[in-house]
Amino acid sequence: MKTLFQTALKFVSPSLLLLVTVAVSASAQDARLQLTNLDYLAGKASQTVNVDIDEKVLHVTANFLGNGSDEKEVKALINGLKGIYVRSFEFEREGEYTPADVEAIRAQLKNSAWTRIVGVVSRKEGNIEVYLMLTNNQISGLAVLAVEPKELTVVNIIGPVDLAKLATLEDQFGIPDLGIEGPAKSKPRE
Amino acid sequence: MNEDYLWDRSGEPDPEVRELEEVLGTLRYQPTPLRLPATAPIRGPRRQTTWLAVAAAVALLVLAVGVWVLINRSAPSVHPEVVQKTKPGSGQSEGSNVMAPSPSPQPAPQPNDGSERIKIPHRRSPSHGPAWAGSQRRPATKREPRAEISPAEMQAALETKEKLMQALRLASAKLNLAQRKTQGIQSPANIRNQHKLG
Repeated sequence: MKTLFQTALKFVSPSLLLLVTVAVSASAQDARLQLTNLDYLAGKASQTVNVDIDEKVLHVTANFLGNGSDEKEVKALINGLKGIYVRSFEFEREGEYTPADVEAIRAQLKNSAWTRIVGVVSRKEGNIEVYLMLTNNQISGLAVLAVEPKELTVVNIIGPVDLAKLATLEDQFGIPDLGIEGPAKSKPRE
Repeated sequence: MNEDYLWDRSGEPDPEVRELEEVLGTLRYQPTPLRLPATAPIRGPRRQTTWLAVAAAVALLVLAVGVWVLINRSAPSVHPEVVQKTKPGSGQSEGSNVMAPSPSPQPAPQPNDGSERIKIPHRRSPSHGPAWAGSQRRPATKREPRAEISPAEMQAALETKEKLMQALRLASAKLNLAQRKTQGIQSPANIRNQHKLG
């Protein structure tokens, strides 16, 4: 009887482990947004940024980062991330994308797992929304949806992203400016 | 004693020789035709041996595959970079533009089946593996990772790195833009300006 129990345990344990692993990986994948419905906009856009970096490629790419302070920061930032997905389209004219395109993304973010931490609505400058997915009080996903009259940008980062570090990367690495305009910096008061 | 008889059977034989001939004559060769049985049972001792050899070979093959699978399961390959990243203390937040509580660093998951585009050199962790294998391993020498990255793969990796930087920069820009817009709405200076304009 004991042998039978041991044999059963031997087969059941790996199955349970597999089940738990699948469940955990499935929950981690929930933070990924489906962005394929925006791909048709690449034909209309004057400038397109299309980035799909999954966990495997992310780890490989980390090996090619140097030992400079900036690249070390990037290494620390992408440590533990499971994917980075970006779609950004800049258009010559307004109205190239439809509200349905935006709603398709926003509908995915209405899931209870996502929490909107920033939502700025401006008819002139466009809307920008920042969503976080929290798992056990830790960030497990980030989504930024920036909708401007001539620009549509969706950023989806999966994994424990450090927002503070991410915010400091804008002016680093000497990467050419993508033409993302922010409000003019106010002059320091005298 | 007449020895000619022993030589060419000529002359009178010795009585002892004659007696011996009579005794041993019964065992003399008798020419008879070969008689083969019509229904002889076909025995297969050699065939049995062949089957045994085949069965032993199959058993050995199964055993070898089982051992190979066991070794590979018990000694998973670990990427050195991932091992380095799991050290505590890395990835602490340093910036000042905090929009949300920074997450604590988590250990990087193990890559399971390699990249689709670029092969990484892998090294097996010396702490893993069966106990019997440990005694056969050379203690002093370390196996260097195999250099499998071709120039084309290197180029692809560098392009991916550029894309990664671009994506991070774009994400950073959008986060900062959101933060600036949020601060701009909540800024008391703007409210004062609205009073002045109104």
